Amino acid sequence: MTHTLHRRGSADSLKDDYVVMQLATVGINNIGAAPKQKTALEIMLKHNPVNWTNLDWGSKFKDGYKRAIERYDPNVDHIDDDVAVFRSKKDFEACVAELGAAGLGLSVVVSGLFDELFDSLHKLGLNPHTVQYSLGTFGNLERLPPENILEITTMCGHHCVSPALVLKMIRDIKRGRISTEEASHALAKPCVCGVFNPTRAERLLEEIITPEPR
Amino acid sequence: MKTNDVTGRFHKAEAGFSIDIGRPGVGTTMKDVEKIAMEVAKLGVEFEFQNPVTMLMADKNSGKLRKDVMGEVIHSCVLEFKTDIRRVPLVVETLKQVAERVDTVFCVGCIGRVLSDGSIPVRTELDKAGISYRPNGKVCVGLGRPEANFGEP
Repeated sequence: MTHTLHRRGSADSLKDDYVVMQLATVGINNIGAAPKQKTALEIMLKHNPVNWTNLDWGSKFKDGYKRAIERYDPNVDHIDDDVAVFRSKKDFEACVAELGAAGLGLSVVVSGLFDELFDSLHKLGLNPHTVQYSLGTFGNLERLPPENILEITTMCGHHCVSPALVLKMIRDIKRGRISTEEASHALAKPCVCGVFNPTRAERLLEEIITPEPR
Repeated sequence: MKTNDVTGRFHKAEAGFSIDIGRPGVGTTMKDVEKIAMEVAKLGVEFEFQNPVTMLMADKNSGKLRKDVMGEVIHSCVLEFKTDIRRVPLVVETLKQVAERVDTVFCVGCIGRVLSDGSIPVRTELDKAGISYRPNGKVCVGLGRPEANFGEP
């Protein structure tokens, strides 16, 4: 599942977009991982994430913490990923530092601009282990929506955020029915993995609806 | 790649590929999935055995899919395989060629280890071949335990 790899936009546009994921591996370290996943989620929540999820318990925009944590069962041996999205490098670094210090022993994966990620990891004394590069999109590219829509929809790597929903949100904002913040939250809801960045979406929506100066 | 620190799936002389077929947002037929799988299979790649698409293959050497799934139209799927790192340019060239013959889109991800001196052999291969990649991507931090034994110096 490469759900945070192919986020589109310029380097400048991706500067407020950091994703942190913690996960156990079945057959290796999943036994007894549930309390560790709970600890990781609590650490993530301390550092101002703009979105988060535990794929088994629930997510920020669908469930909220109270409902999500009710589903926590310490005896379940296979708990799905914890994910949090940050808009600032400071919050991102603080979260990764605390996850590292907690010594939970589960895999941690971070997504963002490589230069920023490597800078942060080196600052924190962590050595990157494996990387994944996006070589872009191939095939019949004429079937894709416009680039400014893709910049929003690819923040959900499974593409559960429909371009049609983005267009509806743009129409509703222009008609004064909804704010850009409300629209960005509505767009975050279908992304069950919780990797959609509503703060960046809000900025991108503003850019789309603001007429270019003549 | 997310758990390579504990699984040891990708060694330093290997490159992994993830082909997100049908994404972003276009969908795909299984016929197009098979076309891509069969082209890369000709290069002798090793399909990831725990991947759902691999499980639908009638023949893992040729990349041919089972007959009963060939009529399906799906939202997306991910084809995963690995190969010798020196074959990265050949794989990318093959993907570019098969891209001309499918009626969908696919996103290509390329995976590699970071060595203890900080170098990234897969990036070196991409740079040498003039293959461009995005400035953003994913990094496995290496906090997973027990650490995978790669049997490497």
